[in-house]
Parts: sequence; structure tokens; C-alpha cells
Amino acid sequence: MIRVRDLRVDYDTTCAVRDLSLDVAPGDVCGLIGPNGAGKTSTMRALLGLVEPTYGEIEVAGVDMRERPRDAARLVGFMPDFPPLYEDLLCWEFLDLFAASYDVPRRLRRERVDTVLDLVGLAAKREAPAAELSRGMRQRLMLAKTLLPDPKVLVLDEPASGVDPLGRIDLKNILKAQADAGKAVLISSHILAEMSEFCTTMAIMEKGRLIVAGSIETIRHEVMGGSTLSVEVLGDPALFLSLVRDDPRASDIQQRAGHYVFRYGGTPDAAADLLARLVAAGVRIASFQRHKEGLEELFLRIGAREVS
Amino acid sequence: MPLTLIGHALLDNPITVKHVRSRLRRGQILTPVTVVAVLSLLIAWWGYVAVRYPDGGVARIALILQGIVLVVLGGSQVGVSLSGARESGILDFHRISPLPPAVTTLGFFFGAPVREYLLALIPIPLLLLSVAAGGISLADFYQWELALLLIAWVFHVIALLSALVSRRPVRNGGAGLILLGIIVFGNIFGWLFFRSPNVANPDGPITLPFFGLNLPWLSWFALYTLPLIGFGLLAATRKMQSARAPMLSKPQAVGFLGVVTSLILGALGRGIFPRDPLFALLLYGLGGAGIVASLPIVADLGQYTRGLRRAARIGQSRVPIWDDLALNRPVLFVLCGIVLLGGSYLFWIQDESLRPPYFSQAVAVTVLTVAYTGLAHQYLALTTPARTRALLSLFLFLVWVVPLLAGIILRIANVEGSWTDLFTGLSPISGIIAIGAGRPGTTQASDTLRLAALAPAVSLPLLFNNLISNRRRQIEAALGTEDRQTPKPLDRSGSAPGF
Repeated sequence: MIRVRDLRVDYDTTCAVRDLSLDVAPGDVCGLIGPNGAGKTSTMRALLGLVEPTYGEIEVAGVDMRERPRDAARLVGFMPDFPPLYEDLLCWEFLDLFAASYDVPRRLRRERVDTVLDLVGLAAKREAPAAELSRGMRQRLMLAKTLLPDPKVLVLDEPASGVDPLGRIDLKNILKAQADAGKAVLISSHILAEMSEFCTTMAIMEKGRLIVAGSIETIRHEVMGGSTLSVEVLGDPALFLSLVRDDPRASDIQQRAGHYVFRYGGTPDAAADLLARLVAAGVRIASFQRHKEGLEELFLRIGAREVS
Repeated sequence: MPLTLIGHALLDNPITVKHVRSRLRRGQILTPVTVVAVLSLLIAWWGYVAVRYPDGGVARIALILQGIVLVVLGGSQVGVSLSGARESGILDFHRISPLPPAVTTLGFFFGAPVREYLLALIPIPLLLLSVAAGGISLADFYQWELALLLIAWVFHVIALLSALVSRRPVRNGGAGLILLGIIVFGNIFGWLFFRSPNVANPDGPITLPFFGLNLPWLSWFALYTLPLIGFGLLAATRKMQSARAPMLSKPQAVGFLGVVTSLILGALGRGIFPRDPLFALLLYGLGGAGIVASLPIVADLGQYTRGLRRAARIGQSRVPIWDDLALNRPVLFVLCGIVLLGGSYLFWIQDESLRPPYFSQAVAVTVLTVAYTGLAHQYLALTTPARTRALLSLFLFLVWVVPLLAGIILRIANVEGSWTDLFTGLSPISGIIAIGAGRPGTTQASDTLRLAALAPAVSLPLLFNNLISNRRRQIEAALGTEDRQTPKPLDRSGSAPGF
């Protein structure tokens, strides 16, 4: 749905995005993460057609952004972190303006505006001036504007900033519903814990380059090299240590508070096999836990330590 | 233009509809409508008491009121509206919507001053009363109104462009724009009110020359304003499409200079300014137009390196010369050619017995001044892109203004002779007219003055051309070095090497 190949974006003498290739499939919610200045916003702006790339190919739902920018624009909905609004318009007028801009037929505009206002929980504010909306409500109105043309691709830059907890849950549900409906979603955010709730895939950028991309599980496996196992052994640990040290996938064995903690490079199946071997060998195991690292640990492991 | 675009642009333009909604709310129009209506009533009362309907006095005051509303307030509103949209970031939403940039541009152009269009209708009954009283003819009425609309559009398009290119947002429309509006509007209508005489037929309709044709004044006025409005809207559309795009593409800049040159030369004939230095003054017009046309064709360091990378990507070693990202030299050569053609035309149409003896040298200095200004601009943009404007201004101050001031000081001090001539000639501001004016038989520019005028005109283009060549080689070498470097994942500098 989103296909980027060899994208390069330059500002004056600074290269903001360097030879980036990225795919976001229909139904995927892809989190674009990276420290400040990594090139996330430049990538998004190029994807939207706001910045002309130095070179590279961008396709949205099969439409080439460079050759048919207006057709591509019809397929993309964009929501920035700080929503600019026309303060002198009412909420419905603001949406009607963009409904007209996206060629929603005049007879359908009112119905479409009311539908999206209802979807984002702003139906009661239909006649309210945009200037009177709170930060969270402005964000909701912007989401309504983004969903208005029923785009096939959603590009969201820090969509949850300024939104209250209830709004975040609503946002998460809306995005999930959009992804379930077969739309491709690209989200940039600094709130990594939140990203892990939203995203099915991730792309991590640093200094304009894409460091790694793929499903979270794949990245975890590639970057962290598996998982961490924590085992509580009763009795003499010698046999346990001997078996574990013989396993080439185990490394960095440490004892912490009565538990043996070590990195294990295998899949969940391999970890289950290890447990079976230990039990079969007569090792008395009180607990056996497999920890998966969160996005923050992944991110730090990759090397981007400037994340806020 | 496709029919859908025309429909979008004029009949169902979302941006215009937005402005109609936001600017014509009761609370928004009540006060200004009241103010203009009361002023109109006062003018009507004054006309009745002072019996100024029959002599057209009321019509003129009503027209001035319309002018203030439409030209000054309307222009201000265009600037404020677009500048606000740009500053808030909402303009980017229009840029990424399927709405064509031309439609967005026209939406702001016609929509932002919608309240002022409404207000300008209020004094119209006064003008109609003047027509009924015989103060002005019906033809005067509609011609004045059309001329007013054209002037307003010129200022609206200037406001549009200012809001799109200014680094700081335009607040309150910009005092400079308002002042300019008052001056230009006042001058044009002052001229109309006093009715510049038709030399051939003083009692007939006012006509103005264009390449030997005598056009009705409104047609002439439209001929001169509509191209400016058109190029202004073209430039605004390009900036509306992309904030990083230059105002005009290189072919458009050539077209712009061609049109402006035609307009400048076309005004000759019966003579609007039948004075001695007319032709030298027109050289300033040609040179100024050439310099203005050369401004958008400069590619700065970032643009040029982008162009080189893009070209290299598709296996080319050079950026195509008409590309926005190419250096300006080939197209600047074309622009200088147009100025030279214009200057040659001025030389050719002068009667040989009246032609200043050194007029051809004045043409050469004009052309070379355009050349070195454009080349200096290009060189500075390649070396110091962040400070190009400031350094170019400094350069022009040193090369144009300082010698001019020195020459003036020496003349005030009554220092006659070589030094005065030297400084007068060095600055093109004084040099061109000093060389290009003066009938045969009168005192002519001295050899010192003429040599002084030629010195910077010949040497500076060569100097900057050489500097640009050296800089271009440096940039291409730096890019070649970068391309040969082995990529080091996770540890790449964000900057291109060599800068």
C-alpha cells in the first residue's frame, strides 16, 4: 500500500533522509520511530508530497507520487502532531471545506461530515467554533478531517499528543478499525509504549537512515537476538549450569536474587525444548520465565539514545 | 484549462466558500458596512449641499472611497489571510489535498477580500446618481470601475506573493503595501481625473499608444496590468504548490522578461514622457526588468547539489539547463539577450540626428549590469546560501550606491573633472543616463566617465563567471568524493562532505 524505494531528501546541505526503502502493507500499522532529527518527519513530508525528494520512488496504493501527485493525495489522510485549524470556522464548516477539497460530492458532504464527527466523538460540537475547542478536541477534529475522504493510507505524526486517556483509547480503537478495514497506517511517535499497542510493524530511523524495519517480533529477534530467560532452580545448580552452558544459544548467564538470568537466542519453541531437557535431566525447576523486551529496550539496543 | 478546473476555481472553490462563510458573518460585516454606509451618506449629503453631482465631484470622492476599501483594505486582507494560513501550517493541508494549486491560489485571491468587494458596492449608488446628474458619463462609470478592479487585483496579487515568500508573516497587510497602494492608486486616478489630453484630439476619448496603435485608455491599462496579474498568479501558484519552488521556472522567467520588455517598448510612440532622456530612462526599465527576471532563476547550493544528485541518478553529468535546480548562467544569457534586443530597438527607433552619440554604450552597460548582478547572485547562492540576500544587497550597495554617492558629493563640492566623472561612471545608476542621454551637439559624457562605466560592466561578469566555474568544480568534486565513500551503517554524518 505504501512503497518507498531509495528515497533521499536533502535540505540545503543536510541530508535528512538517505536511501530509505520501506513497505507498509494493507492492514499494517507501522510505527516510524527514531530520535529527534532522525528523518521521520521528512520521510512523512515526502510521502505526502510536501517535500520534493532529491530522488527515490514513492507509491501510494499503486499510484506514483511524482507522476500523479493529485491522485496520490486523494488516497492519503494526514494528521500532524499540532493540529492547525481555521479558527474562524465552525467545526462542520471546517470539515465541509476539506470534503469539498477532496471532491466529496456536494449531496454527500453533510452526511459524511456528520459520520466522521460522530466517529471521533465530536457530534455535540458540530456547530461550535473551532477556536473554542480544547487541545484534545482539536486533535479529534483533525482526525475527523483525516478520515473524511476515506483514505486508503493514513499518515499520523504524533497523533496522541495532547489527547486525554479516554481519547487515546478511542484513537487506538479507531486506528485498529481502520487497519482492520485494510488501510495502511504509518505512525510516528515518541511514546514508545503506546506505539507497541498500536503497531504491527516498525521502522527505526537514525540520522536519516532506516536501521531496521519489519514486524516487532522479527525486529526483536534480529536486534535482541532472542529473549531473556529467568529460571529459579531448587537444589544444586551444577547440572542446570552444565546443561545451559552446553547450549550454544545461551549466553551472559548471571545469578540475580536466587534466579539464573541469561540471554537465549532461540525461538519460543527452542526455549520450550530447553525446559523439557532440563526437567528430563532431573533439574528441579521452581519457575521458568521468558521475557520479551519492550520497544524502549529495543530502541536503546539499536543505539538511538537520544529518544525523549 | 479543463472545465472542472474552471468550475472549481470560480464556481465551487472551497477556499472561496470558506472565506464567504468566515468573513460574511453578521458580526464580521456589521461594523465595516455601517462605517462605509455612513461615509457614503456623508458624501451624498456633501454633494447635495455643495452641488457637486453635476461636476463629478461626488463620483470622484466615491471612487476614492471604493479604492481605499478595495485596493488598500482588500490587499491587506489577502496578505493577512494567506499569511495566517501559512504560519499556522494549514496551508500544507491545502498543498496535500487533491485541490489543484491554481484553485487554491484563486480561492485566496478572490475569497480573502470578499468582504471588501461587498463594501465597495455600497458607494455605487453615488456614482449612479452622478451619472444621472450628468457629472460623469455611463462610460466613465464602468471604465473607472473596471480600472479600479484591475488596480485592486494588481495589489491583491502583490499581497498574495508577499504572504507566500516573506520570511515573517504579513500582519495587518503590511504598512508598505498600504502606502504603495495609496500612492499608485492616487496617481493613476489623479491622472484619470485630470484627463491627460489627447494630443491629436483634445476633446475625444483618451487613447494611449502601443507599438503605433492608439488604444482606448482602459484597453491599454488592461494590456499593461493583466500580464502582471497573470504572472503574479502564476508565481503564487508555484509557491502554493511547493514552498521550496522558485517563483517562476526558467522558461517562465524568460517569458516574463519578454512580455515586460514588449510592454516597455510598446509604450513608445506618441510619447507619454516626451522628454530628452526618455530612451535612457527606458534602459533602466529594461535593465530593472532583466534583474527582476533573473531573481527566480538562481539555484542555491542545496538546490544545485540536489539537481546534480538527481541527474547522476539517471546517468547524466549535468543538470538540464531549464531545470529549477540548474545554475542560472545559460538562461541569464538569454535574459541578457532580451535586454540587448530591447536596447537595440531603442537605438534603432531614435532619429539619427537626435540619438545620443554614446547610446549604444549605455545599452551595453545596461546588459552587462544585468549579467554581473545575476552572476553575483548565483555565486553568492552557491557559496553562502543562508546569507545570499544580505551579501547581494551589500555588493550592490558597494558597486551601485557608493560610487553614486561619491559622485554626488564631489558635484555638490563643485569638484569638476576626472574624479567626479570617474565615480559618476562607476555606478550604473548614474552612468547609464550620463552616457545614454544628451542630444548630439550638447555636452557629452567624457572619456573618463565612459571608461569608468565600462570597467565594472566588463570585469565583474568575467570575475563572477570564473568564480562560479571554480565553485561548481568544487561542488562536483565533493559530490564525487561522497559517492565513492563506502557506506557505514549507523554511523553516517548527516551533512554532505565538502561544505
